[in-house]
Amino acid sequence: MAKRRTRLKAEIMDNGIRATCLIKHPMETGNRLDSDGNKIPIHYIKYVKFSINGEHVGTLNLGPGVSADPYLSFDIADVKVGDTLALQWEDNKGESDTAERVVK
Amino acid sequence: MQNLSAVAATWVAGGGGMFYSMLANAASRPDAAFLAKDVDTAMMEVLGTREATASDQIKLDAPLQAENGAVVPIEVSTTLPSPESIVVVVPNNPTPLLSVIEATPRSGNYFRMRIKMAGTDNVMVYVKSGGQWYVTSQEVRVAIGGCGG
Repeated sequence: MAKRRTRLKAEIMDNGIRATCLIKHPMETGNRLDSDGNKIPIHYIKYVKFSINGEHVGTLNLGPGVSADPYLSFDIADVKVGDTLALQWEDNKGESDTAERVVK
Repeated sequence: MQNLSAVAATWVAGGGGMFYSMLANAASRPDAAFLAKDVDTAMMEVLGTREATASDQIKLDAPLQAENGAVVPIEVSTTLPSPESIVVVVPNNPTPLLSVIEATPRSGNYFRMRIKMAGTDNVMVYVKSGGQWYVTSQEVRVAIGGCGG
């Protein structure tokens, strides 16, 4: 199995959860040069979508100005133990990944 | 676009409602704004206005000084009622628009992320609530810029 690229956790809060994810991704702005002086092509995550038990609860649209290996937290209300938190992301090259976690 | 129609076809097979929400999401992402090099273009595209009311109901936590502009942690919470959309902008970055968050009735009160800053600048956070845009900002002094080039 390939190394896991997306890590997701759910922390119980007052009225719901704090979803936190860490995604391995270069988030290249397209402005940087490699060691030979060539431009490194722009490569960034376009969106991260969160859902609870399949119901969409929010989207974080990102630009190339978000730091490499995005580490994001997002609060979601009305979530209880046993619910399934899921996320899906896609980048500008069409690469994507998903992650899921049961709240406990 | 080919990609999108393939996805759409899959979703049609899966169920009509899902298909429409997918389309709505695809249409609302302001792709061009994320690549815009000047703040006015990006802002007009996303906010549709540059008018925003300063609000102390948005709390932005960012460092006063950042050694390394490649990783500046920001934390945003708001007590504005039912936030619909939250926009993060760093005006002098090569691409000033950092993030647009589409909230639902179950979200939008808190998020945190790490951003790049090209130099000392303001971090601006806009929140849309009740059809109105509110804003708060904080200056971060950056020792070494983090956007490359």
